[in-house]
Amino acid sequence: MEISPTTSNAKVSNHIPDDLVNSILYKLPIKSLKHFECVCKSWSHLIIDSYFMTVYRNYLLSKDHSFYDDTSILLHSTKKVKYDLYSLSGERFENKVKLDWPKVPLHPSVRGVKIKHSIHDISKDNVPPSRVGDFSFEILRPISINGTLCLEYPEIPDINDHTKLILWNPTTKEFKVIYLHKSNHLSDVWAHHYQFGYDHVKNDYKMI
Amino acid sequence: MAQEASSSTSSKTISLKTGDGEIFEIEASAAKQMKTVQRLIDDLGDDITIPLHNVFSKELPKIIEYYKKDITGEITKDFEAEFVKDLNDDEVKVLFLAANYLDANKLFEFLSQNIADRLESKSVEYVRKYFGVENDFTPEEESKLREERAWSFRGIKEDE
Repeated sequence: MEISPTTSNAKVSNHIPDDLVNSILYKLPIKSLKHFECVCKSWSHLIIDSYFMTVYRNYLLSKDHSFYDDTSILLHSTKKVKYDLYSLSGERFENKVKLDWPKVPLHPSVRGVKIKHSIHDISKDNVPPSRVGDFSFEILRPISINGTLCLEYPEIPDINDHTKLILWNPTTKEFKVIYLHKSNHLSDVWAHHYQFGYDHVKNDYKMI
Repeated sequence: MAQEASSSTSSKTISLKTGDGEIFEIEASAAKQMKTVQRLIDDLGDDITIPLHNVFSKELPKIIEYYKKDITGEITKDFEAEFVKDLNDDEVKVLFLAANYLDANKLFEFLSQNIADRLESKSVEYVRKYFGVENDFTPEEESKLREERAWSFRGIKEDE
């Protein structure tokens, strides 16, 4: 007669092993995912890992449910002094949420440094943030890639004649400022020649 | 050992024995959906009772119920909602681990989504307990992280 093992459910571990944790994390909405970065160090490292995020994004994009039913309209309000951006969602776009501007240091470039077509990470600069909402902007097409917007600020004064663009994800609040060197002989038409896109092969955003 | 009355695969049943010694029957076509079971059948033959050491009598019937529905092609959102309705978070966890052990992909994907849905608005402390994870942040590191992520803390339920 076979002796039943005395192992009950309690003894057999109900611990979810690491490799299975991912399959759950991939299915969380971005807000929860970012929130759970606080769970422990390994989770925090995992969630910002670019491979993890690539798989996460693919999951998100391949879902065939209401994520895409939830398209929003971006409303650009141009009051005299301030500029606001709103997201309208819901069946009749009745949910209006004002997007909080990122605290972006927008400053005239450091004198003598000409940054030509490169991304300048100024998060380390100790520059007080300008009020981004004080400047007029254009949203470059395509409007949103994976939730990231690209905003162009033609009016911000710049001693090195750089155009400022901000890549901004209103959901995760992440942003990156790009300074692009205006080419002199294209100065009349440059504003329309930037395209913003996403490169699947290199898994990165591209500005052309 | 008695032969099955019908010789066609589709109506043949397989006997599964749980880690706590109970035996359950499942149709061969449903067993096919659980790759671990199918591998055991391939190795041991389908006339033998297949031992499943890591699955127990509490969860196996539920899993069988899911795949019974699956082979008739009838798994709907409503069925899935009903399926997990009365389960608490720990019971779902047990089923999820069993689905993984059995290599039952459809159930596994469904349950992982269900767990994600359940955890969505839970607190960080709850998630740590649920996954049995230790907080290895220093208090300073943690408060810094929480401050940076303050926007993601809106709408979180307090620990239940």
